[in-house]
Amino acid sequence: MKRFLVGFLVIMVVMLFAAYPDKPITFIIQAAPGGASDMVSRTITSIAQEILKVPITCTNITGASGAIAMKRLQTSKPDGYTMGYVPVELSMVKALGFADFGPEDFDLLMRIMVIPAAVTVRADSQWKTIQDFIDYVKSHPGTVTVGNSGPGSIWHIAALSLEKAIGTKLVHVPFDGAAPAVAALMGGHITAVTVSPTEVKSGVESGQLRILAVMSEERSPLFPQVPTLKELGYDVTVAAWGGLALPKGIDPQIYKILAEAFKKAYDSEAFQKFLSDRGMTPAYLDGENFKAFAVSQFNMFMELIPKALGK
Amino acid sequence: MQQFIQGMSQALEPQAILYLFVGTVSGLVIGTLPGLTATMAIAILTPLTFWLSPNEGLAMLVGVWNSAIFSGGISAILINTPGTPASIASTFDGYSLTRKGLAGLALGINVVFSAVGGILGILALILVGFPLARFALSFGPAEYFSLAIFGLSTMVAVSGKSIIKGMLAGFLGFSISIIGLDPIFGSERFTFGRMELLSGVSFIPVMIGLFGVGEVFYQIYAFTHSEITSEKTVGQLGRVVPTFKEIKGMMPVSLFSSVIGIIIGAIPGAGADIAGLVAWDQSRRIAKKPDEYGKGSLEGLAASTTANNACLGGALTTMMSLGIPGDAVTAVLIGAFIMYGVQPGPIMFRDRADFVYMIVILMVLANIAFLSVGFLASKILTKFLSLSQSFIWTTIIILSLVGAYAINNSPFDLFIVFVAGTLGFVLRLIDVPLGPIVLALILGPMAEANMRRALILSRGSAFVFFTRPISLVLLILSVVSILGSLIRKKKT
Amino acid sequence: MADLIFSLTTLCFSIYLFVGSSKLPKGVSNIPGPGFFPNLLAWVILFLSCALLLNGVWKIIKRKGQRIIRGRWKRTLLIIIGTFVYVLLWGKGNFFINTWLLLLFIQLTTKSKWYYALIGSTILSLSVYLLFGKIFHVMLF
Repeated sequence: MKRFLVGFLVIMVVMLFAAYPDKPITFIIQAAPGGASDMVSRTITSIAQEILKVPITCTNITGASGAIAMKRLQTSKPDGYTMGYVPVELSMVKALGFADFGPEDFDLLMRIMVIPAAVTVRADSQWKTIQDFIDYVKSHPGTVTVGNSGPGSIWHIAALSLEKAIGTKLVHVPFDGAAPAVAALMGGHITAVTVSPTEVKSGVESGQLRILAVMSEERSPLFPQVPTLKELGYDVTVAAWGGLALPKGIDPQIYKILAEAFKKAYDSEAFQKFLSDRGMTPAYLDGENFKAFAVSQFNMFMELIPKALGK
Repeated sequence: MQQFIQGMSQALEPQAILYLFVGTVSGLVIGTLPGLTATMAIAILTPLTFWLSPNEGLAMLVGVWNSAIFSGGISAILINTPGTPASIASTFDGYSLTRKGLAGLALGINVVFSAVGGILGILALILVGFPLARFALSFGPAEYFSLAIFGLSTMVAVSGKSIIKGMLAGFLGFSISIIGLDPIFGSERFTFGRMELLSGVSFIPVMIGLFGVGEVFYQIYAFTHSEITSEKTVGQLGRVVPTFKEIKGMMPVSLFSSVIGIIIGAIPGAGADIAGLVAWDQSRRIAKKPDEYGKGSLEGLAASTTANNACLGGALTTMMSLGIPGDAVTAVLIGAFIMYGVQPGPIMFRDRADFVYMIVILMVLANIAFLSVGFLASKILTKFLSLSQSFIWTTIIILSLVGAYAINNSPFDLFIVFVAGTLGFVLRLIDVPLGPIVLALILGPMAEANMRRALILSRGSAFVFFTRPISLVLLILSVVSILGSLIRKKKT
Repeated sequence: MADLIFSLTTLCFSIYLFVGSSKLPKGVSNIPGPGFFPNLLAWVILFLSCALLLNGVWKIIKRKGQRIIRGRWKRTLLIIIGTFVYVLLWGKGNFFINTWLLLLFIQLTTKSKWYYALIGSTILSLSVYLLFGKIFHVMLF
C-alpha cells in the first residue's frame, strides 16, 4: 500500500511537471518595439513557442535603460510563466544608479549573442586605418567629435574606453539612439561614431562610411577584414550582449525544459540566419557560464562607470 | 523596365493583395484605438511575416502602417483623442466639425486626403528620392534646433483667445518634458526618486489624458440635458463622401501640406506628429478662409491629414535610399527588409530595383486599400455618436485608460492619464488652451537636446544657428510665422 | 477670476522650478548643462505669470473678468474620484469586475437608466477585456 502511494505520488509529480508548460508564457522585452533586443526576443520566442507548444506573448516595457522591465521580471513569480530578455544593461543599471539589482538577482537561462562596438568614420575622411585615426586624435586632443547613442549607454562607454586606452581627449556627443548618430556622421556633423557594425552596415556597403576597428576579442563576422583594437595592442573590448533570464528561485525541472527548448530554438537555422543577417555574433553560453560572464561585466562596469561619468 | 514588371507582378499577386487588406483592417482597428500606435502594430505583426514570402509579408506591414496613420484621425475627429500621435493636429478642426454636426464629412475628408498625402509621398520617393535624402542628411543639431523652434512658433496660432495664457501653457508643457534623465549628461532632473520617471513622462498618456479624459470630464461637468439631446441629433447627421468641388477647393492646401509632410518625414527623428502640426499652421497662408482654422475648418483638417500620411513617403525615402531609420516604424521595416535578404541603401536601388518597385506599388495599393475600407469604416463609426451620451463618455474613459496602459504595460502611465485628464478638465474650466502644452511636449526635448548638442560641436559659439543656411532660414520663417499669427490675432 | 487662479499657480510653479533647478549644474563656458533649461523656463514662466496676474487684476478692477462656467460639480467630482479609485486599485482584484464596476458607476452617475447601464457596462468591459487582454496580449490582471 505504502509503495503504491509513493508510486502514485511520483507519477503525480512527474505528470505535474510534464504538464509544464500548459498555459501561455509572458515574455518581457526591456526595449521599444523595433530595436535589436525586441527583434531578437520576438524571433527566438516565435520559434520556441512551436517547440514548447504553448504561445509565448511578448510585452514591451521600456524606460530607465531597461531597468523598469528587469525590475518587473525580478519581482515576478518564479513559476516559469514569466521570463524576459536581458541586455548588457543588466550589468550596468546599478552602476548608473538606476536600480539596485545585478545579474545575481536572476536565474539566467542563456546568452544569445554579442555585438561589439566599432569605430566608424566617413569614407571620404583622411583616415584609412585605425592607426591614422589614433595618431590624429593624439595630436589634436579635444577636437575630434565622437557620436554615441546616449549618455551612459554602452556605446558611450565604448568611446570612453577608447579615449582611456589611447590616452587622449575626445568630444563626446550623445544622440537619442544609434541611428541618429549614424545619420549625423553621414551628414558630416560629427567625425566618428562608436556604435555597432550592424548600425553602420548599410553606410559601409554603399561606400559612404568606413569601419576602422572593432572592439571585440575576435574579428566581426560581418566585416572580417576589419582589425580588432586588441590586435593593435590596445586592450579595449566593449560589446553589447543579450540573453534570457528568469526570476530567481525557479524550479530546476522547469528551468531544464525552458533551457532545452530555447537552445533548440537558438540552434534552428531560421534563428542563426537571423543573427548573421543582423550582424550579431552568435555567442551561446549556458546559464551558469552566462551568470559568471554577466557578473564579471557587472564588476567591470561598477568600477568603470562611476569614474567615467563622474557619478 | 523588366524589373518594374517583375516588382509589379509580385505586388499584384492575389495573396499579396489579400495580406494587404488584412493589414489595412488591423491597422484601422489599432490606429483608431487611443494608445495603440502604428509602431506597436508593426512590431506585433513582424514575427508573423517570418512565415510569409517577401511580397506577402511586406504587403501586410505596409498595409498596417498606412492605415494606422490614417485611422488615428478617426478618433481625433470623433472623440477628440488622437488615435496615434500623428493625428494631434486633426483634433483642432476635426473635433470642432463633429461638434458642428459634420462628423461624417470630416471623416470623409480624413479618408480622401490621407490617401492624397500618401500617394504624393510615394511620388516624392520615386521622383526626388536621392536629392531628398541628401537634403535630410544636411540636418545637423543646429538645424534640428531651428526646426524645433519653427514648430514651436505654431504655439501662438494654437493659443486661443489669450496669447499670454497660451504661452504659459506651452512653457508648462516644456517643463513637463524636462523630467527624467537629461539628454546630454544623463543627470536626473525632477524624477522624485522614481524609476518610472527616469525616461521622462511618457508623451502618449499625457496626450490621451489631456484630450480624451479631460474633454469627457469637462462635458460631464458642463453639459446640460438640452445640450446632450442636441448633440445626439448632431451625431446622426452628416454625409461622409465629400463632393468633387469640396475636394478641388482643398487641393492647394493639401498639396502645400504634403510637401511639408514629405520633407519633415524625410528628416530622421522628426515624424508625422510634427509634420501635421507644422502643416496645419503654415497652410493657413494659402488657405481661402484662414480665420476658420481651429474652429472647424475643412481646409485645416485637410492640411493635417494630408501631411501626416505624406510623411510616410518621406520617411521611407530616407530609409530606403540611405538605410537610416527615421523613426521606430521604419526601424522595424529595415528589420523586415534584412530578414528577406535585402539591405536598404543605395545598393538596393541598383541590385534589387524589382524590390524597390514592389514596395512603391504596395504603398500605392495600401492607400487605395484604406480609401475603400476607410469610407465603410467611417460610415459605421459615425453611428457611435448616435449612442447615448453617457455610454460615449464611459467608452472614451475606459479606452483611454486601458489604451494608455497598453503602450508600456505600466500602471504608472495609468496614473499619468488620470492626472493629465484631471488637469485637462481644470484647464478647460479656466479657459487655458491645451494645444501649446502638447506642442511643447513634443518639440521641447528636441529643441533642448539639439541646442546643447550644437553648442558642444561649435564649442560654445551660438553663431552656429545663424551661420548655417538651413538653420537661418528656419529661424527667419519662425519669426515670420509668429508675427503673422500675432497680426491675425490682432485683427480678430 | 480664472486668470488669477492660473497665474498664481504658475507663479508658485516657477518658484518650485527655481529651487529644483538650482541643484543642477548650469554648465561651463557657454555650453549649457542640465540645469540651464529648467532655470530658463523658470524665468520665462515667472515673467509670463506676472503679466497674466497684472492683466487679471486689471480686468477685475474694470469688472471685465470672465466667470468660470457653471456646471455640475457633484457628479464630475464623483466620477473623477471613481476613476482615481480604479487607477489605485489597478492590479488588485479582477480586471473585468473592476472595470465593470467603474463603467456602471459612471453610467449611473450620468443618469443612464439602470438596465441600460447594466447591459452597456457588461458589453463594454467584456469587449475591452477580450480586445486588449486576448487579442493584443496586454498584461491585464
